[in-house]
Amino acid sequence: MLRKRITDITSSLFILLWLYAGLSKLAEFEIFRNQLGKSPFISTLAPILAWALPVGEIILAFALMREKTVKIGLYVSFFLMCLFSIYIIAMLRFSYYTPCTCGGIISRLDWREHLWFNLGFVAIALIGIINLGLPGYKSKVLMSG
Amino acid sequence: MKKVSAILLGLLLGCVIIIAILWWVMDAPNRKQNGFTRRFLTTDLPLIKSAQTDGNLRLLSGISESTIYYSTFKKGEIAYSDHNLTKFERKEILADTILLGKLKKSNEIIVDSPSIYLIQGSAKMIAKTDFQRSAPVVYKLQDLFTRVVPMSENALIVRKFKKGVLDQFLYKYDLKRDTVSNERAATAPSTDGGLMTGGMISYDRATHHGVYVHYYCNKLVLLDSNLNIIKTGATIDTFSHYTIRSNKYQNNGKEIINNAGPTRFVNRASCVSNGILYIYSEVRANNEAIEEFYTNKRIDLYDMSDLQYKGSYRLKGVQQNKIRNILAAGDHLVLLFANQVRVYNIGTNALASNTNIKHQ
Repeated sequence: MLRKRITDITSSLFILLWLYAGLSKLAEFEIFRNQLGKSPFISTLAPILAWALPVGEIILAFALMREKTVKIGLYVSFFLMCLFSIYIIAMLRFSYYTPCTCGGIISRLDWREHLWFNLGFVAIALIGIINLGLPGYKSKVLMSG
Repeated sequence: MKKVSAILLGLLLGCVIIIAILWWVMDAPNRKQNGFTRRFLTTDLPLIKSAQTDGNLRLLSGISESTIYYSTFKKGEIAYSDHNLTKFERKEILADTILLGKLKKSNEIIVDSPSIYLIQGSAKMIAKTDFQRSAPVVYKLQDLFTRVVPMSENALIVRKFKKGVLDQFLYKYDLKRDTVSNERAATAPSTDGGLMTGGMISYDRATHHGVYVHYYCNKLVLLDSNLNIIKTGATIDTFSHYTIRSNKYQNNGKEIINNAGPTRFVNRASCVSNGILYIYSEVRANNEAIEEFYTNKRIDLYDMSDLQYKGSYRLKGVQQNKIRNILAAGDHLVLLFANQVRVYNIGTNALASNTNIKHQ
């Protein structure tokens, strides 16, 4: 029961995060696309990423809502949060220019705060994945369900 | 559990590889050769003092023979120190709370002793006061402006917008008569609000010349005291084209003009003193190794009478990257970084005459 709750909480947090991140990017699409284009690392990919990122985030949120795809959803969430964290570290360390951060409330965070925020979600993803990977998870879920 | 760990490690490694590839293919301007060489002076510029600032100093606001003035992140407040950076003090210079309310945290303060200017271009306002906190005289301009530089006690250079034109021009603002005159197009015509042609203005009272230094290309424009163009020149790098592009887009019914790609400064900070123009460049020369470029900083010097390049100072071991601005007075050159102030000794009239300079 406890382990089912852990999975529910971790996936719910990611559902909220991805829905918020994806929808806020789409809501302020032009600003987001412009900010992406200013990043020296991904300026050439900006036109593709500007669509792919928010759409991917929303699809991921739906994947986390389904029991069948929650595991892959957590793995992809872990991958993305690690990718974003390493991207921020690289931007702060190696980039000659750092643009503003992404849209919504998260835009109020500076890059370092954003990094800590992302690392927090990396930890949440890890908790969810390890919880799912421990032996006996399926049977307990089935029993409690 | 082993399988889970292996997948997680694989994913993490994948992230590192992706970012490494992005970094590798990034178009970094200083990774390649930029096709020019700097003439470094034989001796490194002697550092008088450096001090950590914890990021609370926003800009250098002015400099006199004995004092350095700084804008802070608090509205209407200045900080000041001596040239040895022994003690930093702060002073609120605006008692008028209504006026204070019109300022934003980004308000610029210029100390041109004994006058202090509080500048808010977005509010079309300049307020003039002094250290005695005298009742400020408020000047309201008709248009938005982005740059203000004192020429004398009663005259300013203003870079401002013009009604109906999406560009900025230079003007002379006579404070006594409260009139704006001498409109000059010192920069190439633009339709992006003067974003690509953005730059810095400095005025040298020794030569009565002003200079406009472009941020995003190597153009220099020398002006007389009526803002007539005396000469156009270039910094020693090869960036004669603009390193940024502008972009217009609609957001919530408003037209926003912004730079379309990463901001690449050619000339990041500049100042003038005693006939010399000092420019903090962000472009690597062929005779600077990449590692050396990132661990040292450089100041290029130009003669204010003809914009001729005179040589460069190497500032060794400056790990700070985010320069705010620079100022020079007498023997001293001051650099303000995001977290540090550094004061260097440039010697009296260091390059007023070219005869004593030895180059590498």
